[in-house]
Amino acid sequence: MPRYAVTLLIALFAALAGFSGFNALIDPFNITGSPDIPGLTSRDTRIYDDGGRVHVGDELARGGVRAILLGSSRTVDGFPRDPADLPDGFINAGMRGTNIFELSQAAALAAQSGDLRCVVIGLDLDEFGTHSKAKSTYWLSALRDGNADFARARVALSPSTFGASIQLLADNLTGSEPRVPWADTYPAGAQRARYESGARGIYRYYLGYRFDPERLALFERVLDRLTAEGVQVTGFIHPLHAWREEAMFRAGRGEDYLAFRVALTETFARHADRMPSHACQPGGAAQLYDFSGFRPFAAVNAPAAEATAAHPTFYEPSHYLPHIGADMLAIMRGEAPADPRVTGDRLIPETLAETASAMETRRAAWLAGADGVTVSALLDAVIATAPSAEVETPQFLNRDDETSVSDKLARIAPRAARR
Amino acid sequence: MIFNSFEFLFLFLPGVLLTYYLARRYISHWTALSLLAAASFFFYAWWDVSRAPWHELDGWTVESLIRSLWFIRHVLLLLGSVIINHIVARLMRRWGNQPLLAIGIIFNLSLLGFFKYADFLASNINALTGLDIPELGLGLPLAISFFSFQQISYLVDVARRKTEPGRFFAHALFVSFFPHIVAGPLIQHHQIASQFNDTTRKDDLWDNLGVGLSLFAIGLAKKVLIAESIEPYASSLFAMAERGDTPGLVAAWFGAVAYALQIFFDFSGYSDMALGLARCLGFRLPVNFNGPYKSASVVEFWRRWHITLSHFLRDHLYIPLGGNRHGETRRSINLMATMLLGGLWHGAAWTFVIWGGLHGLGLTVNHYWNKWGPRGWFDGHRRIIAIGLTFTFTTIAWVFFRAETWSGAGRILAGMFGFSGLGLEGVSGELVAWVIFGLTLVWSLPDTPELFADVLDEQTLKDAQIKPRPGLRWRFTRLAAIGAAFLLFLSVLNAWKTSEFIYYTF
Repeated sequence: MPRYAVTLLIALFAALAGFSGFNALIDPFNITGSPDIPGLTSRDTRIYDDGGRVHVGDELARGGVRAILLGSSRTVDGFPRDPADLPDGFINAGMRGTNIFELSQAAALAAQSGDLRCVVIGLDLDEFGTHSKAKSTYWLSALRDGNADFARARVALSPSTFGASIQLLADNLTGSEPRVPWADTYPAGAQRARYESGARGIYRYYLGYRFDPERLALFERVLDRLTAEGVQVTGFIHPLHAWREEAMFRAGRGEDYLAFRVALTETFARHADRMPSHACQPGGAAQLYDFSGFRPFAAVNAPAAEATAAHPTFYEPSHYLPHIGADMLAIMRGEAPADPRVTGDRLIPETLAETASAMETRRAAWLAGADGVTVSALLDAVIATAPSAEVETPQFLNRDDETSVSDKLARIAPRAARR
Repeated sequence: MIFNSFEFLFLFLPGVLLTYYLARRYISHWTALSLLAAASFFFYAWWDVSRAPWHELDGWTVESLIRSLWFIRHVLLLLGSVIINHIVARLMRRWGNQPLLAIGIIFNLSLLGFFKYADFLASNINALTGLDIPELGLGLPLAISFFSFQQISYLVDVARRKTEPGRFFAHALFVSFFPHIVAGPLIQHHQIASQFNDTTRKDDLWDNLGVGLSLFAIGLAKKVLIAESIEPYASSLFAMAERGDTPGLVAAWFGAVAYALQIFFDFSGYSDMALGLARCLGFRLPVNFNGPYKSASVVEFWRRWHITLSHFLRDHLYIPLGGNRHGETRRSINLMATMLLGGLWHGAAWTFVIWGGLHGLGLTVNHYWNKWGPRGWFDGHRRIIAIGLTFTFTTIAWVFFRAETWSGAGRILAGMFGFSGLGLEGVSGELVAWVIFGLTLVWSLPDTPELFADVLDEQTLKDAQIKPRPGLRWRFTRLAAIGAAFLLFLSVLNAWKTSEFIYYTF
């Protein structure tokens, strides 16, 4: 038996130490502060390989962040990444493929620091769907429990980190980079194909979409606590290109979208009378803006069949360009946008009906145009094939999820710390 | 602290092992036990301590002190329970069992009733009478169901003179011992008191670590690699049913079987880990599972599933009620009462009562079949039919155990009985693969006690009525050690995306 036990212990410790040591040394998500090895790890090519959860979680858990911009890949790609290009000390803490569960956790974690003044958070229907709750690296990151040290240990002991470490080494050794989905120029026809295939896929996605009201309730718990403690929370509904929005309507989700708009507006309105300790923009502690709904900048014609130059406002139907994001920030701050086509509405219960009606008008006008006719024909053809809905195993919030949010809310720094 | 958390695996466990063995080697057995008791209280307190908003405290004031005590109220409750039960046990020795035993049992049941059932009772009275009795909303102290039963078992063992009250911290350790406090196995005091009192026991460190870590590795793998992988599919079905969806026949059965597998791998994984952790420290806990889904009857199922609870209910409820001593009808009534209360012990909801009632009914039918049915009909190759029927029955019963509401359970059962169409929607390839994989494991491999039968002491197996059959055994070779290390390594790497054990809620 001694030989058995010793072998077991040595094998276990060797595996754990070797694995975690390697990951900590390579540090693909840039959280351990290990020194760079020239030629091997000096180029940090994989920091956001997991969508950014580990890095963002670590940054928020360390504290000191004054203002954060949260959201999905639309935030990641739709706003400047360099803090110097953002106002008021904002950092772009967007996470690809995220949802309101992760975003709520991130906001609550950030608010544990007395330094936090403002949260700007991008939202749309996707974030509230049952198709996803948390990506695998969320469970490693400090977003999970707010403990940066434990998170670093978990990250070091993760196969996801190991994969990213190997890729980072390969990048450094071969001089390669992760594939960037966006470019200034594309091969002829590539952009058009992306819009067309995107619209088909999005139609199937929305066919299987299911809204989860419990997620909105979870978000409201965080919104309530943050605004009560003097943090200014500004929500905004992401713009989507008209092609995507039309696919959503044709998939029968128009009613869901309008109901979501109402529910979100009422949620923010319930906290609108609170005042922030330190406002990043004029107004109260809880504000909501809407940039969606066939607006001129989102209804710019899709790339022509042989176009090679990048589309002026959208990478593809789901993702807008950073100059659009910068203009949206300007509008939320009460400033004029650089591009006059970029517009947005402040959503309060009194403006809901009027703005929804305006959106219907814009949609009708767009559908009557050449691009609208093209998309209608494309979606008619898709619908004629009776495609199956894209259905993921639905995931709902459970007791652990609620508890983890409660734990973070209990540790939020009080209003007094923000003065 | 849960067994698969970073703080437990890399800080608490190594620290406790090191401290315990050093104290036992260089100080004394009793010092080592008192340190173990202190560590166990710390383990229990961690849930509160790690979540409490300590930053809200404002210096050394009376208010801060009161708030601090409130933050750790559950561990204080546990400590209070130990103190009071220990005093009662000592007084029983001096002044006789009655009425002190009754007082002690009522105290423990009252504690359990107050925290676990007061709101349930209030809501039912309100629903029946239209009154508006306010619910307390106190929150359930972790493991109160388990430690209340442990205390009752202690008092009964002392009353029956199976054991002595013992030293205070040995009693405290019996209740709070970290491998089993949260979700069992339920230990009867006499089963562990002799181990605590054995001051001359020689520690076979390598034997303890070799067997203990191997058991722990298997338990952790059951939880992390299997139960957690199946969980999303089962949770999805039940959550959708709670929200108004009615699954079809295929989806409902796959979801229900997924839950049957999830709860087995979750709970038996926890029990294996508990056995392994205790063994690492040189203690032997009773076996809690022995391949329950191989049971060919409901009676056999309860000899293989949550064995220590079955024994507790048998010894402290069924037999005192009269057991089978007063005829068939009385036995049926006693069985039903025992299982209904057993169901209610799991949770303050009527769905648990129905689950218990179904099993009571199953046991009764089983006894009648044994008496009046064709003798030996399910023997031989027909045993497989009996196993299938038993598994089907337990899976249907699990629907009530898992569902949060009547309507949710009703929708799933409607699906399972074919009232909602064929329903392939929601049945993914991954779900089918996991169900097939899980069923293959539970039906083709020996469960942990049989696998480790050669190194578990005879008393442990005898208590669980396990007679290991010849077959696959864990061999303590160098290759097996590397295999166990790899399993543990793999489980640790995947341990981060895990939820609490199902039985932590009880």
